[in-house]
Amino acid sequence: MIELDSVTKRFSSVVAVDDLTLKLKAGTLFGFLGPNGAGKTTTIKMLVGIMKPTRGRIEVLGMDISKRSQEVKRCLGYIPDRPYLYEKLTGAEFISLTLRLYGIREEVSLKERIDYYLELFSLAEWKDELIENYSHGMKQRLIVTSVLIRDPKIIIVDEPMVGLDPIAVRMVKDIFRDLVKKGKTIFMSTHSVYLAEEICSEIGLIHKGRLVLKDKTEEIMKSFKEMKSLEDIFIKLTLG
Amino acid sequence: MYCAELKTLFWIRKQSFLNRYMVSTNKKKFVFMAITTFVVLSLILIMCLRVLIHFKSTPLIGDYLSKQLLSMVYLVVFGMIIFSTINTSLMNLYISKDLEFLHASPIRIDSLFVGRGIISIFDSSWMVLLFLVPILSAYGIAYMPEAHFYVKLILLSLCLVLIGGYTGIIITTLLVSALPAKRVRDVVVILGIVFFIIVYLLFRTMRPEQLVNPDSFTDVADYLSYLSSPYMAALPSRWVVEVLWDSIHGSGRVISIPELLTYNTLLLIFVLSIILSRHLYRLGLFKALEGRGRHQKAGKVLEFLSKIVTVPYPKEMGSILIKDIKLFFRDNTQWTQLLLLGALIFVYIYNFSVLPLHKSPVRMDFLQNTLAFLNLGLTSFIISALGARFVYPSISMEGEGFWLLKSSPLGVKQLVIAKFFFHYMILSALSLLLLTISNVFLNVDKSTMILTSTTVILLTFAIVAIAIGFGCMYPVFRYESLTNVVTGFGAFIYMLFSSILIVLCIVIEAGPLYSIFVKGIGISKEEGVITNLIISVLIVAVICIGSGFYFLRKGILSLENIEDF
Ligand SMILES: Nc1ncnc2c1ncn2[C@@H]1O[C@H](COP(=O)(O)OP(=O)(O)OP(=O)(O)O)[C@@H](O)[C@H]1O
Ligand SMILES: [Mg+2]
Repeated sequence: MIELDSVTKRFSSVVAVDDLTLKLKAGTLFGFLGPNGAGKTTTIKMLVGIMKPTRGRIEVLGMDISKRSQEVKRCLGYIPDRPYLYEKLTGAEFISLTLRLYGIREEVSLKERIDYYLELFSLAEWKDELIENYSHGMKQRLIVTSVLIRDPKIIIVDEPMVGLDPIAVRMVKDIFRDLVKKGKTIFMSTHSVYLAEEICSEIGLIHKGRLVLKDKTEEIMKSFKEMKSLEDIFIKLTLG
Repeated sequence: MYCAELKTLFWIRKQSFLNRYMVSTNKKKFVFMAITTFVVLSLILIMCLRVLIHFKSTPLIGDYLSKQLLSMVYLVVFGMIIFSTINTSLMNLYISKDLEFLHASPIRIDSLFVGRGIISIFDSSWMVLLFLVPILSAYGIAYMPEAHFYVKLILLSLCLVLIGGYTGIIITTLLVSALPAKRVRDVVVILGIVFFIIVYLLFRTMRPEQLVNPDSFTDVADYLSYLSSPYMAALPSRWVVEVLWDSIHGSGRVISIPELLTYNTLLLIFVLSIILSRHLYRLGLFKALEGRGRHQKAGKVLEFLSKIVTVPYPKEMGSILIKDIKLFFRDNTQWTQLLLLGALIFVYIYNFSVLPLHKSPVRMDFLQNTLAFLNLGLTSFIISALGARFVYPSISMEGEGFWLLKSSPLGVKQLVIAKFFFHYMILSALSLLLLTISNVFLNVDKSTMILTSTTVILLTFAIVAIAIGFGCMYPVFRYESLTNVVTGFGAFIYMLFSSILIVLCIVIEAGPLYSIFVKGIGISKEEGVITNLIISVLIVAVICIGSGFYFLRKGILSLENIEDF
């Protein structure tokens, strides 16, 4: 599904991602953990094709992203860490814009889907308001909604829970679990070890641009028996 | 205490400027800009100097004319500072994004008012002052005044800037306090209308068409003295010129009444603004910050209109354009610019309609055709200015939402092409309209009409392509207001390139066209004149289309490689 082959990203002086190799199968909920500035966002940006790796190859669904970016992008759903949106569009307009951008027709069945998700994320009564009037969390909900409506094969999320209230967090968690059961793949970066431990089937830990750990969640917990929690493992691996 | 706070405010400004322009990648741009500015300023100096020397050698009215010229310059400077300070202070004092942050900090509101006020005045005046330097130097060189002239020059010009600036700030403060919180941001709408009226009045009171009328032309002095009619005497810009003129002729070592008036006015206006700030700024700021909440409703008319306009485009491209149209008309700072544009076009066409052509001493048809050609140049420059304001920033306008487009399957190429065609359609229609209406007023013949129309369409193609191209090469996705984009480096090179292109094309066509006019009235029966003309039009076509495609391609390539947004 997703394959990164010794991917490196260098900004003039910093090496943000260093020789990262990673392989994910369909139906995986991958938790991408790492401290601030570790290179999570950079990796994700390369994965969704808004940044080009300095070196290395990225394959999604068996297609090289640098060669067939258009086809790859059609199957991806990207939720960025900072929900910057068009402030002067309404929520509904934003959704219809994303659908058109991805070449999806607004048929009746889709209309129901849209209403369903808007209702689910309590955005229904806000859909004709301009986005500039939304709160941070509402913007985040809107982006999540716009991605879920499209039902992409792969969802790539950067810090999904920042700014969301507990109800929305629970909802997103449930939806993600559900999607993975249906065979979708989710690549999720997060700071929260608890979240990763709770819902992810696989976990990767990135530190200073290098992947220092990657395995099935149970396997990790087994191999670090002496540690009480994933949090301890995280701190041990990143501090010393 | 106040001092420290002001220092902090200036520091923020200085530091963000340095960080933007003094990093190694931007240093080259900076040097390039400095050199070009220097060249332009030198040209202005030379031009002014020639005019002044000519005036000086004119007996009787020469001295008077130079003085009138100076007072016109100061009038324009004064007016421009007032109006652009209204704009910059609205931004700096009420709208800017960091105000919330500053307001949450323990900084005193008085310091905020004074500090941001000074920054606003600086923003609005530095460019004007820069252009004032060569003009005043020309006076210095032509008249060789004593040293005290320069002292007064600097002192009084500074006073004038501050008077103008504080007038602008007071107007903004009053406007904001008069409006309900939800409407504060709509001040720009009111300003747009005010601008409309001002531009209109300025042009009409100057009556430029009188310059071709021989009856009035016999007395340029009349024209100029008309411009300096008594109501102007109440303006500070007039006082400054009076003082400077005394001083340039050696007198005026003592402080005169106009000079005192200037200082007192400055003092008065400064005190007034401080009193106002005490009472109104605090309230206004709260209002403005509060006004960021929900207030605007999304209308359905726009939805419908934008859908119709974008029918000819493929679905995905169309969706981008629909979004662009909505964003444009929902942003008050954007669509209000159309008012100003409307005013300019109206004045432009109106001036052609009142031209007293039959009174001109020059042969009628020759004058017509020359004017038609001049008209072509002017129209192209208008288009290129519109390009700078509307087309060039259209890529940067994607702003921080660019991630959506970049991660969507719609390629950068399609995005750029959609934007290009959209703007090209509108601007070429506009350029044709401008050109045709003014040509009809000029009553030019058919061949000139066809020639100028073809050329303007070609030029518009290139201008729009260059605007989009440079917009792609120098995108600014993080900005406070679009003004930051429009005044950036890319916009500057775009203006440079498109101006060069316009001049080049006109020069190429001018030769053959001139021989046509001569032939048309029977002086020359030379063969091959028409062929020459056709060839020159073809060359223009190749240049325009070629450069258009070149810059579009370059823009697309560079936008595809941009990762930092
Ligand atoms: N556009 C850029 N130019 C230069 N350096 C960058 C750029 N983007 C990221 N970096 C650097 O790359 C490194 C990794 O950044 P990245 O945003 O990927 O971290 P992150 O793991 O997402 O951190 P966080 O948990 O804070 O979101 C950092 O050192 C950062 O300074
Ligand atoms: Mg990040």
